Amino acid sequence: MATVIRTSTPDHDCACEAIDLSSPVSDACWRALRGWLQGLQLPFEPTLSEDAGLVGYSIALRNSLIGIGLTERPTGPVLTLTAVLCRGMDRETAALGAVDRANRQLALGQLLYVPGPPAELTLHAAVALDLLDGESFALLFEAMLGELNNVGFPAVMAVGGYHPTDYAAPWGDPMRAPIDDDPDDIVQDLQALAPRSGCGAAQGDRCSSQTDLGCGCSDTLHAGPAAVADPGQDPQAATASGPPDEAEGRAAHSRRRR
Amino acid sequence: MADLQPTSVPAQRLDLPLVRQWLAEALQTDIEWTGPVGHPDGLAVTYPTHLQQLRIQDRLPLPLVVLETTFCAFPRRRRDVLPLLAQANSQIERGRWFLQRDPPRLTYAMELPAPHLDRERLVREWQRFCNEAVVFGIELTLRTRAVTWLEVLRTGKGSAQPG
Repeated sequence: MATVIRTSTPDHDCACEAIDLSSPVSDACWRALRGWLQGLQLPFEPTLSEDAGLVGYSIALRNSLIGIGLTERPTGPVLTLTAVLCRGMDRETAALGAVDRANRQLALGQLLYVPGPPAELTLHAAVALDLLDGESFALLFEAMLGELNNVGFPAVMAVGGYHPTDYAAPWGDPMRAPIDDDPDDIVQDLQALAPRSGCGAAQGDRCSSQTDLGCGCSDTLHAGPAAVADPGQDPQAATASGPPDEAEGRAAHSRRRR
Repeated sequence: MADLQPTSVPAQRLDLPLVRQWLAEALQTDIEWTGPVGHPDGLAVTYPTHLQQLRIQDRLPLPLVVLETTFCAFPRRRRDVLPLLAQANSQIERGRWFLQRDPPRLTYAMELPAPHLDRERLVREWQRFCNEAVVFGIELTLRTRAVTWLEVLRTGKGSAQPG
């Protein structure tokens, strides 16, 4: 018989109810994890499995769904953090390279490529539970979010990943993706993706920038660093105010994001 | 089996001499310093199969102890490298395998939260990392037809091959 445990706190009004089901991991560990999650001041929900009972909790953030679980291992319980960054991708052939580049840059966890369909990119970190307390768990979670933004999402952009809960919505959608839009990262990704010559852009289009990425067409991938301007700027305003090349580059970047 | 709980070890600031002392006591082997002379930035232990390194990283909000080994280099089956690395990463629970450049070499890294590490836990994780590195490293070395990094260091073999 499942026991429902209220995990909400008086000053944190959310539907955080955890259901205490059978689990290989001890109740004390789950209680500790629930306390740490409450300390994050983020709404969380239990994740249940018919086979394994309570397998963890999930926190829905604006740009990802992060699963937090405990698993029993011979050396003791292990805390796992898993964030699915995208499901489905436009450029799956670039996935292995993007994942390897991300793993080279990561300081925490690993980026996993799960072949589809739909193919997924998942950021995964696991830590022995006895190395954590509430304070270090919060720091670990913060570090995970940082790696997710700084390393994980550039990989998603490189593969043209789709939002994990909506296959029809590319991550480039500015309304949906509060991603780290570090221009340097994106330029690197675009440089890695840009073909050496020719891009198949629509006939009649002209290259917007005579940079080292320019190739004589206006394909976004070839628009050069000027294309990766301030993502928050209105393209039309940019067209009106900026130099022609730069403004067109911004518009191209905006098109790509849409 | 003891019912392990979240940590009760008080947080402490780790430093390399302390970690070196722990490892030396537990492993009963020679612990080498790595980094510039006079300014070491890490530790290393040489095993028959690989060179296992440790450093302390303060770049993230949570201080981390990073365990790392470059297991092999100069893979001759280059097209197999990334799929095999992805496969290895899907099979390990902690840490990551990745390819480094110049020279091309396969590296395994794993991090541990530093604040509550003590000698027992560090040695446990060190041994666990060592086992994982050997199991996957040997397979990756054979399947990519690479040269072990120790052999590269010892003989320079492979360094003349095109990367």
